[in-house]
Amino acid sequence: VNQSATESASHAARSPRDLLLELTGVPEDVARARHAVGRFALEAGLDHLEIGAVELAVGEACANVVRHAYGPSTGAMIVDATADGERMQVSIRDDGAGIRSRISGGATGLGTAIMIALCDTLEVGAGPDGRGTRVTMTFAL
Amino acid sequence: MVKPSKFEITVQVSGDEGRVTVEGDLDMATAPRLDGALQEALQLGARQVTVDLGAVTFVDSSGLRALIAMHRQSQDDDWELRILRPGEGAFTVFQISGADQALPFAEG
Repeated sequence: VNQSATESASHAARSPRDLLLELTGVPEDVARARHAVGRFALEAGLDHLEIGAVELAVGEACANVVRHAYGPSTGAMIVDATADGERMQVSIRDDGAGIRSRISGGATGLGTAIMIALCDTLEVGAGPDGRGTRVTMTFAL
Repeated sequence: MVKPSKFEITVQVSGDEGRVTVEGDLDMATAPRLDGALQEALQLGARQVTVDLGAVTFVDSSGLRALIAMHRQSQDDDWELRILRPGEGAFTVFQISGADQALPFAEG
């Protein structure tokens, strides 16, 4: 990255209003989450390709909720995003079966590998009150 | 509330040539329809199938997995598959997975 490009990116970075989405862990809501976070990333100053990467990573995290969090049933999928001018943070959490249900390889393994490849940091753990799973990713602005 | 994006898929078969044209986001909600469209083209006699992703706006691991399964089926059952690539923003999942080298992408 040359100096002018770095300066340009820095000037472009903004701090949009925090995003909070209360969704349901169904396939159609994965697209809703992806598109909303994509618009947030645009407001935060990311370019077209970077937004595509954010959307892909967020979509995989949400897809894991749909596949694993609630078994044959469904439940809450909460997505929030914040940006501080240097980085953007996106969290996806559920109240489902917890992280042990995710360790199954296959579809989850590919989705998680994609997330790792696209974000700068990835944290996976229990939700705020010890229930469910919370996935937090950061992306540099 | 955010509306889901439009997704459309069409199947055209002429002789042994088939074309599956996809428009919109190819993800866990829509990828099963791609496989359904392919099976329809094969049942109608297609043996040279083009999957046109030129109007696809997004592909996730479900879409990638559907295309890999399609490629394997073409090899197992000895018919020809070629895939017309989506735009740059929707090509990321193929690049980071290495599938851009493994799948039969072709120029339009």
